[in-house]
Amino acid sequence: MKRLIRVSWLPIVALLLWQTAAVAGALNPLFVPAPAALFSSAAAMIRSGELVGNAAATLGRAVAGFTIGSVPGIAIGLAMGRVGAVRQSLEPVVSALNATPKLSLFPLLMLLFGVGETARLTIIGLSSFVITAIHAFDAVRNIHPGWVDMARNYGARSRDLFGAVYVPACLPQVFTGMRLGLANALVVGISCELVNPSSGLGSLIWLAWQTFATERLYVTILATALLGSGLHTGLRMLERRLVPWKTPHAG
Amino acid sequence: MNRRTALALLAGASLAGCRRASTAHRSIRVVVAPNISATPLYVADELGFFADEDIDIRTQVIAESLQMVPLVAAGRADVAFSSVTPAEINIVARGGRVRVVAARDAAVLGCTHEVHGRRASFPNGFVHVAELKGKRVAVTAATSLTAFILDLLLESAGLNTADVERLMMRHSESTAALLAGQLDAAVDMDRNFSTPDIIPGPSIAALVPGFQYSHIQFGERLLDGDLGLGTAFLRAYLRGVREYRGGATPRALSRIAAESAMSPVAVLHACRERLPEDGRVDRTTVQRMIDWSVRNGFANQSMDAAQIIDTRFLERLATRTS
Repeated sequence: MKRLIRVSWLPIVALLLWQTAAVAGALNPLFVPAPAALFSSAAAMIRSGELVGNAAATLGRAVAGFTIGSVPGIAIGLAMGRVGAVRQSLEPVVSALNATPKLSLFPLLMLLFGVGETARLTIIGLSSFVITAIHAFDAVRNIHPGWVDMARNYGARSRDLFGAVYVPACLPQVFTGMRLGLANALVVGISCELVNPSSGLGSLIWLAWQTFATERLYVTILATALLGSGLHTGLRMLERRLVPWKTPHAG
Repeated sequence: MNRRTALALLAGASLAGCRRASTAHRSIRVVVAPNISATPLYVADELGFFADEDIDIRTQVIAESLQMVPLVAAGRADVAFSSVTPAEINIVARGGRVRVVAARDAAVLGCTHEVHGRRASFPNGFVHVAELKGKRVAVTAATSLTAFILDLLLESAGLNTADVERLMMRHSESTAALLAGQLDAAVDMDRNFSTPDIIPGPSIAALVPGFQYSHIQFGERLLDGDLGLGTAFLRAYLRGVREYRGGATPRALSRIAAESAMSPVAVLHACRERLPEDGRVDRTTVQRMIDWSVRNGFANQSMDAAQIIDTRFLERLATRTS
């Protein structure tokens, strides 16, 4: 209960102040609608299925793109960490991709793959690939050499080291990469929806802006934030279950 | 420094202060999209027509014309060179102060083309709207003027949006996609393509006579303040239109070409008749846009075009001229 109060008092106070300012006429409702108006707009958007449908589209796109990018990303990152030749060949490419704003590739990808889902998934996958690869690579490089030596002293052969040392030692940082990769997949996905709208929360934000439906604009942005937060929490819970040996954060 | 020099410096400083105050009072912030139809604004500025009215123009180029009207409604700009948008209709319905005060760009038969197609997609030529059926057609956004024009074109042939594969992308992307064969046609309001692989399609001027693409919109400061300032702005702008139509070419031609992603030659030879000299607003076009917005669920409530048009400035201008 105490925790709930600690988490929620600030937003509640902010909402109350906001509503009071709106009722007092201190805010122009054309640009800053009252929270009560936002709640009624959100209710209407949920009832019509519009909010849930578009959130599902965004989520599906982000998860699909993330899966496409993160599976090879983790594999390649681990290989880069373990095999010097792979690292030397791929590190410059991964670094270059990391430094490239992913959205700048979108027009090019549309030309290559057409104006459809393929270009969107490719760009989301690419951004997830880079983040997960870098974290997996770092995870292998950061393994304490003493752990490998200890396993060897206990008789572990090279092929045993992978399951007994590398995987458990790397998983915490790989999960961190996955969390960041998924958050990034959501951001890139929504950006693609803003640039090239079809469906999803980004399209909804863009439409609300174009039609100056400010209540809908606020509601959709909040829904985007909630979706991102939900994904983050979900992955954190999964991490706690799969990687119980990870050192918890202080506090 | 002797006393005379000190007094002269003081007087100079005072005059400079007065001049700054005066300029600030008459300064007008204009948001404009990078396209040919904005050229008269630059002509008027370069030929000193705004200066003649003691107006200091501050132009801000915004790639997406749909973003202009909200900026004017929020008081971040005084004038928008934009088409009537669903956002504007909703803003006006909710008491916002943005109004159409003059027309800026119109469809003229043989002069303007709103839709272009890939030659390979239209082997028999692109003459009839019905040929769009089943084709991939780009518009800039669902609520944009391009989407509105596509619907008007399709309607004229007894078709609707469901009869084409409508895709949304910016002009720069649709041009590249057309050339790459990822699209069959794009609604693009005359980009003056210089390649033979892209051909103009049927013109809306033949189907909807008097159709106007875009307008000049004023915000609260000009609508509710000194009417003379808005009138002076329009007078200077329309002088720019007349000069431009008469052959004047802005020195900023290469900049306009760069901003609009067109060749300077294309900008130079662009048809100039499309820019109406009198600025008169075609009410039917505005009403069509309102009805279309309501029909598609972009605007919450219908209204008469007169609610969105403010004729006071053009009327004052006509009175002064006569």
